[in-house]
Amino acid sequence: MPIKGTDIQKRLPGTNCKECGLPTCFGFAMKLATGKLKPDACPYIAQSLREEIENLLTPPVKLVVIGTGEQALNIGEEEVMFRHEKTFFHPPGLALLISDTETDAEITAKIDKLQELQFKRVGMELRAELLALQSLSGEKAKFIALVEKVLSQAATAGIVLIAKQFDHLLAAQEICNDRKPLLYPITAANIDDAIAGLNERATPIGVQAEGIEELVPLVEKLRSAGFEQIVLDPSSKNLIEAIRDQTLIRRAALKKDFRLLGFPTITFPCFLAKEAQEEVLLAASLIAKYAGIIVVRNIKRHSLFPLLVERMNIYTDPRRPMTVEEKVYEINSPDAAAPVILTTNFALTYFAVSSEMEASKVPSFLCIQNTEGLCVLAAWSTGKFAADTIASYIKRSGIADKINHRNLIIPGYVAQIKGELEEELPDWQIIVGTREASGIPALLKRQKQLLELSGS
Amino acid sequence: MVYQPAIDIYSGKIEEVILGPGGNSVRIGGEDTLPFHSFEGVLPNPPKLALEICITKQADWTEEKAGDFSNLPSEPADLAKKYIEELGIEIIALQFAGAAISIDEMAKRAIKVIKAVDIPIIIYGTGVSEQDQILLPQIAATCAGKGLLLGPAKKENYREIAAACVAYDQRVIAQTPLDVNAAKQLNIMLIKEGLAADQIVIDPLSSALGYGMEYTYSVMERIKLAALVHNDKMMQMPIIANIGAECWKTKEAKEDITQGVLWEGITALCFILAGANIVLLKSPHTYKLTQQILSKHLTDVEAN
Repeated sequence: MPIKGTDIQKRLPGTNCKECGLPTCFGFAMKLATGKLKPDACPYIAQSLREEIENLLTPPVKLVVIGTGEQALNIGEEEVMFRHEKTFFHPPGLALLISDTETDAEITAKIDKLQELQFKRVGMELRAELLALQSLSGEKAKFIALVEKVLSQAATAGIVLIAKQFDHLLAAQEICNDRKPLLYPITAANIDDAIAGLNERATPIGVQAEGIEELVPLVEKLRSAGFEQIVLDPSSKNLIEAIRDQTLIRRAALKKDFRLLGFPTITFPCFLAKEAQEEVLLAASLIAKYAGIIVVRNIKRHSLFPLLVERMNIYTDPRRPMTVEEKVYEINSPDAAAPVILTTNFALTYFAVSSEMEASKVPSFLCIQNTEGLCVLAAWSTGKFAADTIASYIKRSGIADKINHRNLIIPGYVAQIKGELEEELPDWQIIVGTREASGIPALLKRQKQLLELSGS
Repeated sequence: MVYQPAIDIYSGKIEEVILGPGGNSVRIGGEDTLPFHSFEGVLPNPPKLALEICITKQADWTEEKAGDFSNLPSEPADLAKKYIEELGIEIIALQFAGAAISIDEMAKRAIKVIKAVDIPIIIYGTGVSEQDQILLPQIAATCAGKGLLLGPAKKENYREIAAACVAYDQRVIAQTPLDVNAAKQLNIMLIKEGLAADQIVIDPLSSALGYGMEYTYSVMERIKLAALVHNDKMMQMPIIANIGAECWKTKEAKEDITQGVLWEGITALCFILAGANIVLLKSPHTYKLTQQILSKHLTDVEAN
């Protein structure tokens, strides 16, 4: 809820003293409302108004950053309960749990796995970004050895430090402070040690308590001690509790403006699931239901990839259509005699068409024209996928140099532009394809035969 | 600052739809709150999973570890019995999409399964409007009183299907393509044809993970919010998600069955979280896994 400049002005001294650097209180109020100046610039501003403005100018869910540089994980700053209301902004971090009781070989394998399992989809890089290092042995030296190993072998991964003993956390933090790790858990038992021991207030800390009610006083204490990089763990015992807790935390921040719960969360499918597949589905639920960090014990290619795709789907901005890059895609290793299909760069169109083309096993080219993410009919009706724009795309695409024929298959939904397109591309023969992608394999097989016949 | 949980009470309630014959009927819907929000409302019926059986050819679900579903009986009725015995499934979904047999033959095979088992059955037609408007009424008439859930009824063929459901007391799947307003419109038209609100299930059209899943997800959330928050009577029917075929035609599922099971399982769970009251699955492995999540992690202990 934005605050209006005129509302602020009413509560300023109104003396136009110019000490803030502006000629009038009104001018100052306007700058405050847009966040260009801080309330502190006015020496006479009332404390209550100062707090009110500061609150209104900070997002209801605080941004927390774990790690540094380009690989840093940003979580928080969410503004809605449902993605269609606007969008979800910062996808949750996925963390792989490693404990100091695992063997050296196991630890190395996990670190390698995290770094190896990276995927590309719709032009996006997908990966799990965090390693969660757990002190389980009870020996500080072992925990530190684990942290050191991770520091040397995983140069970019973000780090979550997990230890019941606060001195383990502190010692581990000392050696990896420049990686900006998250320290977990800060509880009622160690909160005083944390406040006394953590000199750097910008350190990200994970606060844990039994339920939201117990969490609130701990957050209050930490905030008054100057900590702002806080991540919440209400210790949900199962998925249904987690849905409740995650929902109530976000609601409190967004709907009730309850700042003490205006932080992202951390969740632990690793401790709730017995089997690997079970863990995947718990993590999947938490991706949809507001988690900020999700810690898992297992990562395999076949489990991480679907989770990362789900995360991308849920966090896709519904206000903007998903697109793929404009280019000529080669499917099933085509040669110069391969058929050519043209369609738009709406990601779902691309997926539907390319997967049917792959399934047909016919080597072929897929020309994807940039229609700003509009599907075939919408792009046609707005002129983005009409004879002239298609012709200019076909010419710049370079497809003509890759093939020894001039046959172009266009989507069945734009059959009506065939004639016009043939005028624009006089060397080409335009073939009207199917309306639905499911008809593509049969179409491609026919085309291949025709091209082979005419070629021989 | 004193913390007060922000509890929402909703003015609307989802219709409860009863599927299947007398003794073995299954109820879906009936909740007055969002999915799993038992902290602020009542959800009398947990989400249900149905396992699909293709009316023509069965898939082979062999997988190294997770049990044996190879060499499945090719006869749909035998497979239905096997699924009931080995997995304890509560609902069967007969799938007709892509079946290259005559409509009479389809109806004959469906009726054989319906007569052979006594759990609720979903008849998910070919999806081709002209075929379904003949096939579905034929099955509805022969199996009067079985409480079948039939569909998809679309705006092109809803009249014929609705008339059969009214005449023979069956339930209907109302399908519209990812459009909240169109879903409401079709419900209004079905009600005009004489169906009761508790005879309709909304099918907003499901896409698979990675292939537009988020569109379905948000349409389901919007339908549920319209039903509960705005008390829109024409949106208060339970929601069905038919995801098996969509998931298993993706290359990610085809190239690795374990990944396919998770692909289908994640899609199912996302839709359940968005508001689906019943999900049709293809793989028995996915069924086992998703059912385990529902009963172990998503059952409210205090409520039972």
